[in-house]
Amino acid sequence: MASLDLYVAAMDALALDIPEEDRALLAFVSRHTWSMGLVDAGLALRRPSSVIRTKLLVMSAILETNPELSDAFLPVRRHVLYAVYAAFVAVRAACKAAVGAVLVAWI
Amino acid sequence: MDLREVPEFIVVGSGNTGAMAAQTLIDGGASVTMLDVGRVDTKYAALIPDADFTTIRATDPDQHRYLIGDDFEGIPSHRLAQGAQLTPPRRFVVELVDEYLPIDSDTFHAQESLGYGGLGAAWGAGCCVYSRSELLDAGLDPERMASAYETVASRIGISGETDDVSRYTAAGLGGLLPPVELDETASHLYQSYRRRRGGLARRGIYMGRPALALLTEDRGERRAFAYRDMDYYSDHDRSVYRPWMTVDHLKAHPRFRYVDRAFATRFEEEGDRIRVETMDVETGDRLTHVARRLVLASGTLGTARIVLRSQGTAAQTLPLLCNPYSYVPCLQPSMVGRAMSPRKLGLAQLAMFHDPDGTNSDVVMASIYTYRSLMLFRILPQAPIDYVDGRILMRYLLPGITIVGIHHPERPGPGRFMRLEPHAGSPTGDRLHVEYVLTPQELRRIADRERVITGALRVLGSWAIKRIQPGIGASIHYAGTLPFAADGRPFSLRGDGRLAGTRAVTVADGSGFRYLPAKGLTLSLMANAHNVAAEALRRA
Repeated sequence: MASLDLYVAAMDALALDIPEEDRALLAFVSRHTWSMGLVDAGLALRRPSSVIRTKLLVMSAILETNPELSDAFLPVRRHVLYAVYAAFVAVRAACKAAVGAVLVAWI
Repeated sequence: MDLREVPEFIVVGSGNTGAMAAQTLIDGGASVTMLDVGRVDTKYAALIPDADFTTIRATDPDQHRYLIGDDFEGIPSHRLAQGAQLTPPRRFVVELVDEYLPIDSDTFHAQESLGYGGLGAAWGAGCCVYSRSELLDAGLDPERMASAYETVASRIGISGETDDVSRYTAAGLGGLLPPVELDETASHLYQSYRRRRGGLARRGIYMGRPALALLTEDRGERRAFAYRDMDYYSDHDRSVYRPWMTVDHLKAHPRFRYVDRAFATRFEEEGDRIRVETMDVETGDRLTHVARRLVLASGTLGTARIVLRSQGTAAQTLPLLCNPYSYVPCLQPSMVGRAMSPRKLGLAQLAMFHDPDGTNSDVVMASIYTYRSLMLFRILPQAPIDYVDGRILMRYLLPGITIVGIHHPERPGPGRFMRLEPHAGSPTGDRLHVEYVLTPQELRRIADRERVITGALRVLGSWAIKRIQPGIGASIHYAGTLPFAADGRPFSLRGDGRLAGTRAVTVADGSGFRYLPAKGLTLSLMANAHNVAAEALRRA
């Protein structure tokens, strides 16, 4: 079963109850898809149990169990510049969380 | 067994204690009927390839079925639920529990089982021998337990090492199999400990290899552990002991009869017979089984229900013990980005003990696991960053991550009790109401001792990321509902496991323990079950 089909099946099976505060966020990220990462990061800080995070977790789990993508989720050996790369990603994640937290509060 | 005959014994439950008691009874020449709900995994076991975790991840298109589940039950939820931490192939352990074993509590989150092999079907295989003072405090006879530990160890097969912690794990046990190989992360941590053990010993900290009910050499139809890192999903090699292996073996015996789908609700003594009422979980039919003697091994909470229904009054409360438990994800920066070998053990690889006065009487135990086969999706939600960057960082961090599960000892207290109350929604018409509250002083002491453990780990180069308290009950270590008492007071057990006020009802699980050491209790439960069954045989 393709990952997208699995995700649809998961949403049917889990039948997540979407509270009002998450409805507004969902509507926003549907209109402005560029904001998904920011909203995710903001919710990770402010409301980790939000339905949007749960939906992303489900998709993440489904992708992780796709054998064609297994390498993207298994431990990776560090390369020469890994520290630079990891530091860049960490700083990016922190920036996204800071901006996202403001965005989540504003929407 | 001739089904028209009245068996000498009925054993209720197929978990670690029921299996051990039944084997002792059969070995002693008795006839035994085992009553058990006996849920089994019919969905996932056949799907799981006989291969290692990394090979499966790269090749099996159906891996999502057993890694996240057909009903997506393996995806973590913020809701506290039965078996939340179990992988889909182990979920059968908690099937029907919400329906048949309801609990009402705001303070206690229990996990029980109606599965074939009980909670032992998902046991982490850690084995510890209680010290003499711990046994005495629990109400157990040290001499008889020493012998029973040996008997159980020879039945289940235990691997381990003679090292700084063997006095807490496998003290006095003969015939230990060689220890499992450590993976790179655990090995690095252990080498760090070996260099610093003198200083840590002065703080009362000791680290070593846990004793595990896991074969490192072939034994009969069970195979030596193959390091496939699939320990949370399958029992392909039968290298990790599960109580259903004992029951499977007993089923071939002519004096043993296994009755599944049978949910035991109450018992009644009539002359030299005992009648045990059961409910068929498929049809709802109520049946009565008759024997001369009864051995209850339904787990501490399950046995309490049966006893309260059979003997209790509405107002009767019982005490309860449960080890407080926290887990602490830690990071070893020096291991970040290192290669992880496909050969790996998913169960605990190291154990740390805090024994401040060196007397082995008030010990905190930390079990140390390295992390891979439980998947990124179980830990990503814990990180306060977005999933995209979380995944990228976690791939580097994973070889440096350890999960440290910390158990604390527990004694009876006034805010810890249970009672059975009417509940129209359950098949038995009742449910357990449990209250379990720790005092501020106890919480402070727990936090203090956890700081000692995390401080010691920091000395070894492993940094605690956060402290997670999953709530009382999450340790899955329960005891003390029918405490041992020599005076035969109601709702207590004699030293031989006999229930006060009965002629021939014996309790083989942890209900009698008056103290719950922090060390893993399963080996002690099994040893006590063996002793209780041996005593019941002697009386018979």
